[in-house]
Amino acid sequence: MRIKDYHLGYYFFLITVLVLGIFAVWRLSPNKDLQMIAFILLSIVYAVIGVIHHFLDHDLVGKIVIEYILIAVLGIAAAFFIFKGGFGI
Amino acid sequence: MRHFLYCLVFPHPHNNHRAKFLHFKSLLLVISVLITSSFFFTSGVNPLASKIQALADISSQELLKYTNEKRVENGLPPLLLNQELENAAYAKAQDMFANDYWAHNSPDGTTPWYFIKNAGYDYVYAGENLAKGFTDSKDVVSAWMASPSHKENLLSENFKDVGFAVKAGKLGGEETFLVVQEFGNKTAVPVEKIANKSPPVAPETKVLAINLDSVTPSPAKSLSYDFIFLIILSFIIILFVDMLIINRKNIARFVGHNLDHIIFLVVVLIMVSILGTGYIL
Repeated sequence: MRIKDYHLGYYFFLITVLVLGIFAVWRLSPNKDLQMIAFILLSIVYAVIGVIHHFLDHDLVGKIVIEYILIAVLGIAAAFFIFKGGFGI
Repeated sequence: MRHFLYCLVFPHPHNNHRAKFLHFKSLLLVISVLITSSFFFTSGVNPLASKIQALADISSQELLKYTNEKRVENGLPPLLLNQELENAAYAKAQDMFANDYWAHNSPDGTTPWYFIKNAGYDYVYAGENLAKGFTDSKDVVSAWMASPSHKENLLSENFKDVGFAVKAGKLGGEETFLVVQEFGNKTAVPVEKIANKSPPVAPETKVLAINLDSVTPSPAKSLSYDFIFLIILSFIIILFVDMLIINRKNIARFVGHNLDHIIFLVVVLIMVSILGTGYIL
């Protein structure tokens, strides 16, 4: 039960942070540079929160750290692609 | 081939119980493609694509049509396309590209009224709406209508004439296209409402209508957005399927929480949707 509560708390925290990030990006419109910076910061925070979560779960290994970093970078790359105008179409 | 595709999407002993699509190499490949194409396609290979599409989908005639549709819906007579205001709008768009700014007033303080006067339009009332990054005339007018101050210009009884400019170019190092809408009236007499024929009240002083604030984004989706949407959605679906299969088979793995990644990627989709919008000013 305590473990379940802990995970619920973690997901509540994660979703709150991400929703705040969406709000920040929306509010920073139309300054795309600041929007991009906010998005990069959010992706970093996501990776850090994920890694901390695994650390607290005592199952943190190097592979997991790389995985969170890659997923965060994938998000940044997707946003960057749109930010730069994608294929130009 | 079937086995390869299966291993690409589903966890299996042959892919170490993790869909190949989610392996580090695949992730790195997708990231590399996205970052490389961000620089390569937008700067060199296809720089004219956005211009061609923009010019194909946004035209003065269409902007006039949708603007007047909104005016008629609100009981106002349609605006007349004025060549002097068209010239003013074109000069304003050209000035923004030449001096690399996107604002009603240029960095040296030149106001929109300068362009209107310079084009030979002797106004009593004048107004300006700007938009950039849109690919469709209807979206531009919808975005203006969604913003109270721009809507005020569109539905103003003080304006009789209008001029548009749609121009593609480079702004802040990015290929984009601008839409400039200049409003004007050479007399102090407001137009009569179609529905309400009450006598117009002439204002006592000259009034300029301008939107200097209220920046509202509005969707201007493109093929690039669809591409990103498809990529991220694929990752979300594969992560979800992976999570279901592994949970059902109760296989222990040292990998990140798929649910974390799914939530994050959903947020990425929302963010990308916010970033991939056009703007009005």
